[in-house]
Amino acid sequence: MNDIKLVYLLKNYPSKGLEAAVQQYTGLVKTIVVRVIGYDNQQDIEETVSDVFVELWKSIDNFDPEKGQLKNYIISIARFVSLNTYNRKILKHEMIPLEEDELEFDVDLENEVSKSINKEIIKETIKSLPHPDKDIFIRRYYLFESIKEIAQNLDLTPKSVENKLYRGKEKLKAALIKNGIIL
Amino acid sequence: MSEMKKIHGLLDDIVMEDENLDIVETNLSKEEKNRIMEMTLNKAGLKRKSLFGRKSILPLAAAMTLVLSFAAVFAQGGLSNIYYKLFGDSTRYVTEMGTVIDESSSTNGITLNVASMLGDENTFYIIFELIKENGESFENSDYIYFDKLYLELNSSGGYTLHSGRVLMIVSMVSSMEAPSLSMVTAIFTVIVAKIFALTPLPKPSDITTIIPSSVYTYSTLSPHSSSEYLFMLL
Repeated sequence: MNDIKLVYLLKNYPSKGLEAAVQQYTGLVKTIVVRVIGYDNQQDIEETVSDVFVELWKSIDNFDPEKGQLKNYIISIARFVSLNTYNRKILKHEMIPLEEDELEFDVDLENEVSKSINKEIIKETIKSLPHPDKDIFIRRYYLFESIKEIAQNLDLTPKSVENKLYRGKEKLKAALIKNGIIL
Repeated sequence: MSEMKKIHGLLDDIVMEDENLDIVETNLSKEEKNRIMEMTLNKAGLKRKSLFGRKSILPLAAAMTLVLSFAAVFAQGGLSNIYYKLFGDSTRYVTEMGTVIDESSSTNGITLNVASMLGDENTFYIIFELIKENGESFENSDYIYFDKLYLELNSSGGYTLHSGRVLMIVSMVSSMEAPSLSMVTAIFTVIVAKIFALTPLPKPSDITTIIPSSVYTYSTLSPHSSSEYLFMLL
């Protein structure tokens, strides 16, 4: 089913829309959920996956097909909902090791004005990363893919992925500061 | 100043609208998917609905093949009551054109009987009977899935109707007194060359039409099959 039809159903016939969305996107959503909260509790996984679809239904009016694919919108919701579950349940599953994830400086994402400006800077900065650094960065920090998976999917060695991530992180920090990120 | 220190946290609330996000999708069992479906609808305060108020799904997922042979296509009469529901007062003009087929195929305890057909080179109305074995009754509203349904019409110009997945809804007829049905009848409306692949293909007619009030349109739920089927239930 294409995005337009699915969105139409979600807006006008929620039961049918949710059934179709679950049929079509559960595999995708579960991948994100498991990467964030881990494999330990099947019930938590199913609960979180279903929360994602409920959130999709609630927020479907915010989806703008002019801006991008529904799949990417669902991924962003899956990410958000999974991280909420992770934080709420204080899970021990390590998404990304701290030394790899640490930014080493603070970025203001609480003040609404700063947040809005910073979000744009972050997006533009990621977009400007060279290939394949951008892809690796998104896979690791946005989609929570493991280094081993990234290496397999991009036909690189794990060591090479680690090096590129490290260099990408340094580039990102420099670019964020250069582009005027609000600290 | 916030306490945001993690890189992944920078990406919260960001939608990567125009990136090609390549993700390996996890395989789920049918049961797991169903559990998630029920959970989702419950949380949303919704229940599974359909145009006909579905209550259950019969676990019939089978291939059915019928090879139909008939010499005098659309030349015999019969089943006028069923045709009446389709054609109303015009029935007297069409009943003589119907063909009694009466060919059956059974699988998983359900028999599909092609009772009769009516049509021309462009449009068929195929009347199906669905019969449960041992006189069991269909529930008030059941879904029956056919993974594959093939109808080969040997003596009618070599038509072969192929369908990937057909869904029929068994629906109680409001005027019937019996609380349940052991046999139901359905008219399956076929627009030739638009829905099914035909061998050989007749030339599609630009003016092919069907009676709008007698047709329901339904899309299968399967993401692998988005064809629309037209059918009418009696």
